[in-house]
Amino acid sequence: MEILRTEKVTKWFGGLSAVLDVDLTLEKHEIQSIIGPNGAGKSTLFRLINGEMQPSSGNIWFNGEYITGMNQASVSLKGIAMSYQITNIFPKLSTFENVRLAVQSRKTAYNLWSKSESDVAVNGKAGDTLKITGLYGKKDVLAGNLSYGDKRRLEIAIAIGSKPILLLMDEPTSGLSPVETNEMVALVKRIAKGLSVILVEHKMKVVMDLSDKITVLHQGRVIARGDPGRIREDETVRRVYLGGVRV
Amino acid sequence: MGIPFNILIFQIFTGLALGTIFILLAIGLSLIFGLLTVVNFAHGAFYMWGAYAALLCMSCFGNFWIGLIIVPAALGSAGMAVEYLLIRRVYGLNPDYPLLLTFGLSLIMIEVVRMVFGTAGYPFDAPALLRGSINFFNLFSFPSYRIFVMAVTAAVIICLWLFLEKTNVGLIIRGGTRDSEMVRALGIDISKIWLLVFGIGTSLAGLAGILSAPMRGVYPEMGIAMLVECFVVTVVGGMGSLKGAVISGLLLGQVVSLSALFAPAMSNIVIFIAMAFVLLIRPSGLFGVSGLLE
Amino acid sequence: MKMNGLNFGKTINWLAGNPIPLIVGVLVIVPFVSPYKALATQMVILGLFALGYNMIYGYTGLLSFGHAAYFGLGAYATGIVLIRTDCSLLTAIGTGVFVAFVGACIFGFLCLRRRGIYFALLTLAFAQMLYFTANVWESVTGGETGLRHIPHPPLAIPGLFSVDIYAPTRFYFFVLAFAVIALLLLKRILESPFGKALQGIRENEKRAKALGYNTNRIKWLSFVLSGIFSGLAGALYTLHIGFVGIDELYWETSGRILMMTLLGGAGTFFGPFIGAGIFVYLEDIISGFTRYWMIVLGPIFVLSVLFFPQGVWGTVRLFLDRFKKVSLKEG
Repeated sequence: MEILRTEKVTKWFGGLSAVLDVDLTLEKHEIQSIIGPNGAGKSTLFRLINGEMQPSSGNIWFNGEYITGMNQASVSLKGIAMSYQITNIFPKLSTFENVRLAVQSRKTAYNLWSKSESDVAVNGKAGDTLKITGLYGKKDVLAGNLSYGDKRRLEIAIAIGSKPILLLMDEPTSGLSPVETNEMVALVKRIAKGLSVILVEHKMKVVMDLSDKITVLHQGRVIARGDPGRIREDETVRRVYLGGVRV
Repeated sequence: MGIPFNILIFQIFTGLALGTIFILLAIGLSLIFGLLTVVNFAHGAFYMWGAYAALLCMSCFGNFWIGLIIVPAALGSAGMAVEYLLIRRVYGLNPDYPLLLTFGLSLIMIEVVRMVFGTAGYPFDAPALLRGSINFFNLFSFPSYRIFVMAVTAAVIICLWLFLEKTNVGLIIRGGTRDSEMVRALGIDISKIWLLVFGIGTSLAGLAGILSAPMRGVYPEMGIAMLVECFVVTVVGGMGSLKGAVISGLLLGQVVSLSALFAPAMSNIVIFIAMAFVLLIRPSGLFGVSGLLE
Repeated sequence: MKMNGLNFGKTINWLAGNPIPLIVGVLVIVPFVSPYKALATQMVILGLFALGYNMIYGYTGLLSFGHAAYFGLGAYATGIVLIRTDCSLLTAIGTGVFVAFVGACIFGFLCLRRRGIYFALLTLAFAQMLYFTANVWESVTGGETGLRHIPHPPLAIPGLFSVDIYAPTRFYFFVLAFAVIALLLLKRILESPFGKALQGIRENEKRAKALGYNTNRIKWLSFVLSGIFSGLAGALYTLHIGFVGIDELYWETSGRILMMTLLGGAGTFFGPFIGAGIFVYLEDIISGFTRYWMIVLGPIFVLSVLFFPQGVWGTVRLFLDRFKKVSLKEG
């Protein structure tokens, strides 16, 4: 079952096409990676899908709904969440509060009376999310004081705290050591059960390990698509991107 | 409407003279904001200090013309000291900090003047040379001093324009980014440019102060209302735009001057409605760069 | 020593979670140690104003430079209604709050269309508009002279009781009652999902939006609440002073409340009242020596922005946090 489809999605910035005629489909529970050199349009594509930016032309369907043109908050409520390449957390709030905010986002924010402390359901889910991402022990630490690796994990925790249907992950292993990268890969595998994921990554080992399908972008266009084995062998891709990189 | 033509022309000229003071102040504010992204809440205080510095010059040297040189130089130096000691510490932090700092600074500057010079204020006479008026086509007379002010402002605008358009430093300032990698790559010490820009801004404020002293007198609160009106000019003209500051300064001068004639009570309300309107519809103003800090 | 440390730590923890008893305790004592009671009353009223301002500045992270508008609206509305109608005390206060509420709804909606410095300038523009309107509309506001001889009705429910509350001590506790209610409401709001969302927006508005929060609407609601508290302070101020002038609407009033909030500790619970207290009492003390008290306050404020942006209570809290960690370890 198709969970996300983009059809000829295009984004112009002045005279520059950051994303051009991109067709993309994501099956339910699939992990698809988008790879490509810097400036290929991967981040822009993410921002078009999550509603941060609006496409210049083209259509986007999510979960059977036409979501083109919806603003970011609305798209989020439909079930799309994103974890960011540059850590985007709530620094002066506790780790627990960071995730709790994400869980709470699914309920009304205009409740001025109940105590959030007593919302067992929300707090429970937040705690569970922290446990899955291995941060439960640090739940009272101020998010700004966490180590870089833990911040990257919190980044994911916030994204999945809002119980998304589709998770967009922008370079989750960015800046992580090899050991931490392996841990992150294991984490992604754990959380991907029951989710659909689109992953942007530069580390080829990670991409090959995690992906069911890979889409290759170059200068805003899709130049190849297929399962990892096929992409590895694809001539165009090798020339443009992987060239020289051992996979 | 029943208003004699010559009175109308006179008001327009008065508006021009007022407008030039606005222009000098707005250019300074705009430059400082355009490059440093700092809203200089002390700008009115520097203007006021300029007027008081002129007073000091007069009592020390008895000569207005010397004041015209000393005052902007002194205020420029004071501005550079403020940038170096205070403002520089908060670049890159919470963008509210420069505003808070300069706000606090303005309070101190006003109080210091009250302490040293008293709260009452002083009159200030125009230099003897400029005390008369010039007769225009036997239609009306206009004080020579105000014509002088307009001439000085015009000269300053031209010099500034040349500086910004024709020099390398001017190019960097027009580039409008506080911390430009390109500038660093060229090996230029950007912090000197910060000093320069802030100094130019405050020295223009000081010049406005000494120029306006014979027109409006000298008193501690003179910068307070002026500051807010300045914000209106800078917003309408566009933060960071020299052309905008000139045009909207002249505009505001006319609005204030002419509304004094037709509907005095409304003029102040009108200018803030204009400011709100611009901020809501087109915050970059008439000529500013859009997207700056939205 | 260990046992004492543990108990002290526990007490601090409890106080941090339940700040209201302590603050009320302090405020109950203040009028009796204050040089004169009117000063204490002024502190509480300004503290209430600062509490309102803290909501938008400290907890939501939006710097408004026009909050004098809501204080002034509350003050003028109460004054006008007391002069022109025969209404009861509580009705008058209610009217003041309501007018401030309406103002905050409208201006808040407009100002929040922009962010950062443009937002601040918009708030300033609207406050100035009100200021000059009040200046001009003499028939209603008394123009530059202001509203004088404002009646002081008793606190009464017809048929039930009537109390003259204007003796200094009584009036202080009357005002304090409002402050306590405000504090209780604030605490409730901050602990609610809305309050949490507010702080999330302050910390990272982009992420909050990405999580699905309608950040603009939430900010607007915070602005309106802030206007309500500020308006209440204005209404009480009119009763306290017996006079309303255009100064209440001038941007210097907005500047003062900003300083109080920052000095006391923006984004903290105690901060506003501490800031108001510092302001009011410092001004009183220094005015005993010199009329130029800004010479003392100005540098304090500037140094605070540079080195202690978290304000007095923010600094105390940092200190207490460190102490809490130590005492937990020892326990």
